[in-house]
Amino acid sequence: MLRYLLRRTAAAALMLVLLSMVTFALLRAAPGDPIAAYVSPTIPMSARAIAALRHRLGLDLPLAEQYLLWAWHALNGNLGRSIGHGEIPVAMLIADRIGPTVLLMGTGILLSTGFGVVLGIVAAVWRGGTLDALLAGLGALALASPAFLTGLLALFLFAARWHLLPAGGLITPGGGGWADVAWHLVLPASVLAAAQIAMPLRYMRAAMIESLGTQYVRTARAKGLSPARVVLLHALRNALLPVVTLTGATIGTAIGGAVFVESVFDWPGMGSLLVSAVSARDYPLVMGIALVVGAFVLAANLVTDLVYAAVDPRIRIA
Amino acid sequence: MLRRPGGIAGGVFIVLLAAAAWGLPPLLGLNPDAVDLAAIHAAPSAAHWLGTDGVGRDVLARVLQGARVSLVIATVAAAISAAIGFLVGSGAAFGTLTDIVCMRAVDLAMTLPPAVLLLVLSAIVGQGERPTTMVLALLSWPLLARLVRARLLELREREFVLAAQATGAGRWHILRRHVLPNMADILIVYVTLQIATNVLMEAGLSFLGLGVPPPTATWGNMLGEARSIDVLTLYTWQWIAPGAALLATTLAIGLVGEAVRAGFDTGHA
Repeated sequence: MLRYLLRRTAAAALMLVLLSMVTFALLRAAPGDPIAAYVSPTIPMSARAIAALRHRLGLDLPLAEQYLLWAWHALNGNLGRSIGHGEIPVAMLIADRIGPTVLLMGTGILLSTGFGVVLGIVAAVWRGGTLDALLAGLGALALASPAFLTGLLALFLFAARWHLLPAGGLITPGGGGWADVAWHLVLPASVLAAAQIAMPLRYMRAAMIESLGTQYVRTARAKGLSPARVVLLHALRNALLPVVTLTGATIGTAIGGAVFVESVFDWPGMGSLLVSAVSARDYPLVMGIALVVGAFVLAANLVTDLVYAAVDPRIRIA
Repeated sequence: MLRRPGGIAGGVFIVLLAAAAWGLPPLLGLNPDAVDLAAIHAAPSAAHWLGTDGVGRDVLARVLQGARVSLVIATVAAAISAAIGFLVGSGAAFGTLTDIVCMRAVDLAMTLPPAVLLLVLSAIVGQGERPTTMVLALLSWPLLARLVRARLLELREREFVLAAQATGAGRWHILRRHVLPNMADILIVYVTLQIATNVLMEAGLSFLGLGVPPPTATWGNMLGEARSIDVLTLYTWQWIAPGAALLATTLAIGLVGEAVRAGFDTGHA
């Protein structure tokens, strides 16, 4: 187990280094000069002043040196300064936004996994019936409908038409507190969950159907246990494992969905920060966010693998 | 192959959509940029079947222009990414070193969630119809590269390939005559489903204002307008029409893709 743990951790760390190198190289090779954000197009600036500015921003060093410098700083929690947001440190901008995003994603994943598991069981138990077909259709619809479209529709119906829920933002202006945040979380988290639900639903249905066909379930039925007891205690236990580990894999798609959901609901998270950074060509900020997201996904995959290996010994031998 | 009703329905919808997108505008004299100052924010009527937008442009004309832009970008991007994926995948299958390099690159590209990678690429490549096509093409090849590599490694051991090698066939001949026909199912299913994903991704980028810039109408641009509360609540036709078109198109292409996949599966069994 220890060897497996070390090997997986080393592989994840290597991927993180590669990721940082590639993002750095790509962004520096991009058209558009990061210095443009500092230079007003209307006020002329002398070549010397521009050179001094380049020097101050470290843009006159060789690329490899710029990368090493940046990587060293990154290891110390310094991701450089944003070019667009008045030179605020990138790490500070990200730290401000990471909380709302984790809250949104966590709630969304919890909801989609919870409802996905329950609906998957329902579809498997009554498979071939109307309910199963209906759920399959809903799953296909959820998969085809992008989060921004579902978000607009939800905004239109629940906020604008029926005035049931707030239209956006993290808190009511002048308000605050946990209850207020939770109230504002309902709509975006539900939209994110709807965008995610197809995977857990399909996996759960397939795993349950397999589990319901096994010998031990037949034995449990033959013993005369109630159908509910057979399904929930005997079949579900073994079907649940692949679905729970799927949760780790959904973190990546949830971050993707969060980009759009945050944009629709003015949710002050990392997704909307990334969008504004991309439109402003704020390279240090884009790079910082990509690195943080990449590290987060790698860590989530690593934890998923390790949990799976801990629970199912066949994995770590293979 | 298309003996599934869903696949046929999806295919018919796509054909009708393409026919409408390219055929209707000249037939009805629709111009996506024509401004009708007498009809600003006009609701659907006989003159403007789907109403007009904030500067009096015909929504139907713009939805159809969006269809043309979406379908062309999505198809071209899927074709380019299929080519990249095929080359990388077959490169990986041919040597140990190229295998390591290619598969690490694939792992790397798959580390970032697609939407985040989409934005990072968009920051580099930029906005516009061609850049957006490039971004989508660069985004999606890794999965295909994996599939192609796995299939090639499997084919390399098959008897008919070994027999061709034994009779002295060259690598290019084997690739063209024996490998490509046995790879067709992967490529066709991938391209079909990728077109649906690309339509969604293009709409997403344009929705965020990072895809095809105005005044060109795309479904994503039109949906992006609905972030204004007035458009969302008062002028619903301006976003419901492109939203419905987007949803129907991705569902239809998805159905075709699933039908094609199922067709190939029974062919193998």
